Amino acid sequence: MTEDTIDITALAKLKDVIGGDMEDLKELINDFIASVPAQIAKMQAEVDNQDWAALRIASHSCKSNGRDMGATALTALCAELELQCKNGVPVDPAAQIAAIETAARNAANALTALDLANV
Amino acid sequence: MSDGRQASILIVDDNSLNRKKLKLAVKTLGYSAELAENGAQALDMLKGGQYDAMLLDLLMPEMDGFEVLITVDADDVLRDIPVIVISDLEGDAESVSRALSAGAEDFLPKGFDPVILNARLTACLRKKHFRDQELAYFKRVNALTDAAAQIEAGRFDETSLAGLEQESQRKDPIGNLASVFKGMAKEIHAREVRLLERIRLLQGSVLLVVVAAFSGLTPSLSRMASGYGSTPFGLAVWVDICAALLALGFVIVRGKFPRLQMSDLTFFASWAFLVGILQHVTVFYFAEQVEATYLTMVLALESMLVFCYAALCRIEKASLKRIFGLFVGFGGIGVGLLSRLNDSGGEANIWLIGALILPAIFALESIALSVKRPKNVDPVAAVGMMFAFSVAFAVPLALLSEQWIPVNQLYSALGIVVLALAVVSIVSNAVYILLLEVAGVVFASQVSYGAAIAGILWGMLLLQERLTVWAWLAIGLVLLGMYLVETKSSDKPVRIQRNYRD
Repeated sequence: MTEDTIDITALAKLKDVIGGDMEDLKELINDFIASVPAQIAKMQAEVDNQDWAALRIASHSCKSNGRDMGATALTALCAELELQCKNGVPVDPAAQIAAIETAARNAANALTALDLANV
Repeated sequence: MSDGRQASILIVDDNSLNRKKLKLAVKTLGYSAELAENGAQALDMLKGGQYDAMLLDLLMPEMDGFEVLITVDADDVLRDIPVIVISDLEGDAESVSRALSAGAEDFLPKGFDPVILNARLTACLRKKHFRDQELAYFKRVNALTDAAAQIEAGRFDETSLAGLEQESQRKDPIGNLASVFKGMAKEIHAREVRLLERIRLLQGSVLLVVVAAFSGLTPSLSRMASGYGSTPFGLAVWVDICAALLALGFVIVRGKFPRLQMSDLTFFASWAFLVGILQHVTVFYFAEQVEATYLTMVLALESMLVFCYAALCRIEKASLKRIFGLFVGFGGIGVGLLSRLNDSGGEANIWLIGALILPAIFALESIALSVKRPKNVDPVAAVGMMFAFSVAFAVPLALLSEQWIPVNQLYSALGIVVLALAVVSIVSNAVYILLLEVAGVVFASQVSYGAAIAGILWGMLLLQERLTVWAWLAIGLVLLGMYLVETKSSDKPVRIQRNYRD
């Protein structure tokens, strides 16, 4: 499950960018896991408000974090939602948020279970 | 950086995870990093801090990266900070182009390679380093051009060229140029100050001679009036009336009658009391008790008293040279009087000591005129006002002492003498005020020396006596004393009237 959900090479790149310190990498992963519920809640709130510009920024931010963490499914879903928001009104945004939430939960679980020694 | 400190990078991103990641990346490259959560906070930090580069996210709520770029580019100081925009918009060529057009130095995707980040940051920081050096160079050149502008404008002193001081300490071509420039400017300034001091001394000396010459006429004219049957206080009344009418009439004809405040009237009343009552009464009183030559010597002490007061109150600078000058002048008075002492070997007595109050009263007048005189009032108008108030004091004094002179008594030679005394009083007092303005109270107080010498000269002239060697020596000593006492130093900046352009 982990290797399917998380792109290890992305995490390795992140580790390289931040100087190779494993403790720093752990801290970033923990920050990501802790921030996921708030990010999803914010996206949901923007859907409720039908504020597509704000939803674009929120999905852009979630996409950026997902990419750094190697969460490929999450990144792809957020990128699609961001693009739709940029072009106008997204198609069934509530369903897209639900899919993003599932992907984010899977990514968080996978990251929790991940042995960082492999990174 | 150019000043030897560690380069400081400002990271601007609304995403906390991105901020943390970028901070770690920047620190790994050996730079310090500070964080801003949005565009507005970034601008505040840029204005208050010293940053060498900025990593800027484009897509942010409220104020996005583009707005930050436009604001920074419009600021003369901030626009020199290189900005690298970092965003996930790598596939969006239009946004990249827009960011670069708005002033971004470079562009990096969020999934950047640390080697590329290092290369681009290094390039930006090198550029910033050169820009800093360029600005520092311009600043140094500006210090020189500013100084040149001040000199060209003709208004400078040593403090206004302080910007050159630091520059001239540097051992490089601009430092050498600043050093030469500063030296030449100081030389010009010192020369101008010396020239102005000499002009002021010359002006002061001429005015002092005029005051002394007119003041010296008073005793002779008074003696003439006495010969025509006048009385001291009766004479004072008519001289004051004539002087007030002549001075104020002259001022009205010239259209220079001043608007007076209550404080001005108080000053003129006090001055009139000092001159019209206190000086007259004390001089007449002591003149009866103390031999005239000794009295003149005592009066010449006014200069010493004024000098002591001015030095204590820091109205003017005190120096050994000025003190020495006052003693030389006083010596001149002594020589001049001794040359006339044939049979007057009067002994010092209690009256002579009591007469010391006379120079104190005269010194008080000089100091009051110097410090308290309303500066907006024309000197002739001031003198006219003083004599007008003097009339008010002198009339009851003349009536009480039964010294009143009837008007019809003036239709004679006495009237002409009264008129002459009035003119002499106006000129000597008005010119004395000018002398105070030009040369300061200490120099002006030497009028007492000048008046004493003038008295001797007038006496010799009227009595057709030859000027003895002693008299010439006395005059020489008084003039030497004036030179040593010097005029006051001007506290106004020296304005140099020079044109340095063809």
